[in-house]
Amino acid sequence: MGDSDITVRHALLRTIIIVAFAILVVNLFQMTVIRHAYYQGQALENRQDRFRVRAPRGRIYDRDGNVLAANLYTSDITVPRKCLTAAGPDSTLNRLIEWFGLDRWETIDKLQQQAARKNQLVLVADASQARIFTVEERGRDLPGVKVVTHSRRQYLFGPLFAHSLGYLGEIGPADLDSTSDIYSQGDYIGKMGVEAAMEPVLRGTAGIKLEEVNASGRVVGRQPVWVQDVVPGTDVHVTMSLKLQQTLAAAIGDRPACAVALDVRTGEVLAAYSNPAFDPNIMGGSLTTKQWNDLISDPNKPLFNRITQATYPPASLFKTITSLAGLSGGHIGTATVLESCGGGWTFGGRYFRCWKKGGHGALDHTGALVNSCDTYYYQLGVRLQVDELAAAARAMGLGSRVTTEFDDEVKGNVPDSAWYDRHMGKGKWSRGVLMNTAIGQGELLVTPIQMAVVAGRIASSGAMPDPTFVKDPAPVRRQPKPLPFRAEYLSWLREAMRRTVAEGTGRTARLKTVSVAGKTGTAQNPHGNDHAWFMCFAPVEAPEVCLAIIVENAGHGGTEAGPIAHAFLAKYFHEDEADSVAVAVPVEIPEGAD
Amino acid sequence: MYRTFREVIGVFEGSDRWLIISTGFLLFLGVFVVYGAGSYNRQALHSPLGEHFIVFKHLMMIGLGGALMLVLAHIDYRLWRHPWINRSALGLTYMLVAMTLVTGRHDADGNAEINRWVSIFGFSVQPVEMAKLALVMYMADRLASSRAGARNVGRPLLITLAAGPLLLMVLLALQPNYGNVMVVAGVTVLLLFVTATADRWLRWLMMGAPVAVGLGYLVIPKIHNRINQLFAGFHGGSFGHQVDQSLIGLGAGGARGLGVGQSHNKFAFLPEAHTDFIYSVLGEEMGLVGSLGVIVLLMIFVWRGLVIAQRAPDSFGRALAAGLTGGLAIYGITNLAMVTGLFPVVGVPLPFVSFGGTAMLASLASIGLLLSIDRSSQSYLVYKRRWTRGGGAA
Repeated sequence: MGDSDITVRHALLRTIIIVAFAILVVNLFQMTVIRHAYYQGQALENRQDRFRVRAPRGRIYDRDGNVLAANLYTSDITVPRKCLTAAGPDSTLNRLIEWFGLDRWETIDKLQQQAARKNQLVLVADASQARIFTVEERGRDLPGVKVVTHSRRQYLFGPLFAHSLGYLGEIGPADLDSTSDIYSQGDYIGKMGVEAAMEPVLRGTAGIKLEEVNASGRVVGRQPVWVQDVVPGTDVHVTMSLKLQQTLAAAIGDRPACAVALDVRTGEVLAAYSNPAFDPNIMGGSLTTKQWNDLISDPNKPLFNRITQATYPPASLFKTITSLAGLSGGHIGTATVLESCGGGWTFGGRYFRCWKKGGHGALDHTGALVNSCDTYYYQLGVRLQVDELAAAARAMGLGSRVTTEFDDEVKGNVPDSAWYDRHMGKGKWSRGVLMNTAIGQGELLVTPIQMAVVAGRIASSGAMPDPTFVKDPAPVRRQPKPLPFRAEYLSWLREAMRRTVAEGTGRTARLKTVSVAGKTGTAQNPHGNDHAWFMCFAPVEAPEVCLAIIVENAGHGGTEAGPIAHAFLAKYFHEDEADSVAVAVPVEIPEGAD
Repeated sequence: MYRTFREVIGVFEGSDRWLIISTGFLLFLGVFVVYGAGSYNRQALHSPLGEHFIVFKHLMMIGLGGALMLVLAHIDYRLWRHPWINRSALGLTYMLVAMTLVTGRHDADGNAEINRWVSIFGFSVQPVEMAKLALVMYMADRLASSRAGARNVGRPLLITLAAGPLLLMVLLALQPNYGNVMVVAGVTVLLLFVTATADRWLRWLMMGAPVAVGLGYLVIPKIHNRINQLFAGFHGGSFGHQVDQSLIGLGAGGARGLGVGQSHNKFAFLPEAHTDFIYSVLGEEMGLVGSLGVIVLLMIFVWRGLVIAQRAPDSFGRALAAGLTGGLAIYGITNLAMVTGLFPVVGVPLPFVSFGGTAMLASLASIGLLLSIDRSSQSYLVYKRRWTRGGGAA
């Protein structure tokens, strides 16, 4: 074997090496040039994650610009579910527990409760800056641990606006299905009141960004690519006034009651308070099972918005409508004197009592309304047709929804002949039902906001638009239908109501400088004490504000509901500076500030 | 002082320029890519140097290796033929390899790692890199000695093979480190090939290799899985996470690359981004230009290494230079083939580019040895030329 042999072998070796490198080069060329697009796609898929960024919800202001609902930004520290199964002294979870000084078993217990529902478990809610920094600094050592920042709705006055503003709750599966492009799991939506009504305005549009991430899903710096910008929710100004709401709430105190005040000129709701209320700040996420159970088992139903959802017989408040129906139908005049009241009246073999056992004596129409004489209205009632009275009631706004904003508003009930046919059977009812309907009892059912509308329509001769809770963005308003009553009857009614406050059953609502017109009522309640009603408006000459109040199980409207109206009107007309009406401070409503 | 420095550096003057240039460029490219890829390494977390930790270590190893290279370049390579040095080096390094079977190391997660490291004076070293160097020296010496009777080497050759590569392969297989078993086998065959061992022997070895691979495939699950994974990849499936990510990185880099430091794969998508899979990060960042550059530089290196081997003044030098060059060539080709999905995954670094302490030292030591051989051959050539021309004035 000589040198030439070695040279041949060297040549062979070189050839082999060149061939090997050539294969590598060809393969490399194929990957980087020919299949470049394919791998590029793979790489993008690899490293980009879509992140949905929730839009900040619009704030809610009162009519004077006070903030009622704002957003509070908080951060949670979350761990992936698999952390629970990975034990060991150096596991991610153990390290976090050690750093944060948490109670080990309590923490694990808390996480296990969430583990059934979620992939990312909240380890620390509302985390402090120090803890957030800890996680972000040592992030590489904490696979899957995230700091999740989210906004929480903050209602600055707690229960004060609970029913009218509503609250936020986690979106349910039903809403998710129908609007999947707008919402995503875990979003919060308005569940009641203005929050629910103005949801499309308040929510804004969530943004979508693509972020470069590493293999464990952690974002690795660099600028995100926004596929869709975040559009913050629009602020909403409501028609309510903080100070009037506080006055109303203070006057109601801790009784189960509600009151709603409207601006007669615009139909705007100035104040609407339903008691007992709840704290909307604890609704949604942080509500514990016990707190929820307490809320729903409370016999006074704090979640129930009495203003639009509770129905009561209108009682004597309805006499205003009976009068209008009688006058319009020509069945009675404004000065007609009927049979004297001796404490009751007999019709169809039955004796119907007047609320005043001793009787009112002989009264004309005005006197009957001022003193709320049942006997007079029994007689007026039987002169009417069932459908005639029902039409008058409907014209005033009863029997249908009066707001366009609150989906949960109920219609109440205005019985007409068709209704009686349906419910009692054709021919199985008599005009005797009018005896009850004429004084606002029987099958008639109204909501407090409907009665406020009745007061407003009487005050404005029907010019008051339907009530609204939203001032800005301006809602679409329904034009009020003209009332089918002659103007002279309405002005007679206003005068009768003025006298009711001046000298009749509504004296408790009187003001020193402003004339008030009103009507009291005492609704018979088969389940307990009577409900006290009051509706009013003021000033009589050029009405600005109207009001409906009901205090449950309280007795007479004049004595129970009248003072609430007085407190409100005194505040509205600035008479309270002279008087000593208690004014509530924000958030906390002093109990028993009657 | 300056003169001393000139003398030390003087080894470069007149020595093989292209060998130095190709090595230097590979080191240069490696530093940039290791810096980026290593900055995300979790070891860096616990170091005061932070993200600079890996590149700092890398540069330190290049410095140490460079010094070692200069020292070796100044020493006449024939010193390593001395039986005492030659065989004790072999024995010592084999002992260290054997030690890895006893001591183990645990990674940061507490899992037992494959035992490839031993700790010497607090430094973790991979003895297999030193053992391979010692093996090449030993084999070169033995084969050079038996050169005269190349046709009837029978028993001495068998003893050489048993004491050298076979023993090391057994130790490595026990680790287990099948990648290096293969590399050792490759270097052995290469050495036998270039030192003109009889065709008869080579034929046996050539036939033995596929049999050994086939046996390994059937008996050892790890080899079985790796090879199956490769074929799954060939058929359009997954090559396994690491290689898939490596291919995505290279492919996404395209012709021009994403730019130095812009690799995405290093963000924990690609395990061992700064060591065995550095080529993928390099390709992702520098594109086809960079990855072809590495191949060209490696080819230049191998070409110059073989030229040095061919013109070496003695048969030991020839065998040593061919063995060292061939070893690094096998490393490089295996690594590139593995990273580009042409070869099963074996833990072999890319010479001069990958991060890796002992491997870097060993590679640069090889350069030192090659330079030493080159220096001798050049003085030999000068001498030979003068002699054939009948002398001349110096």
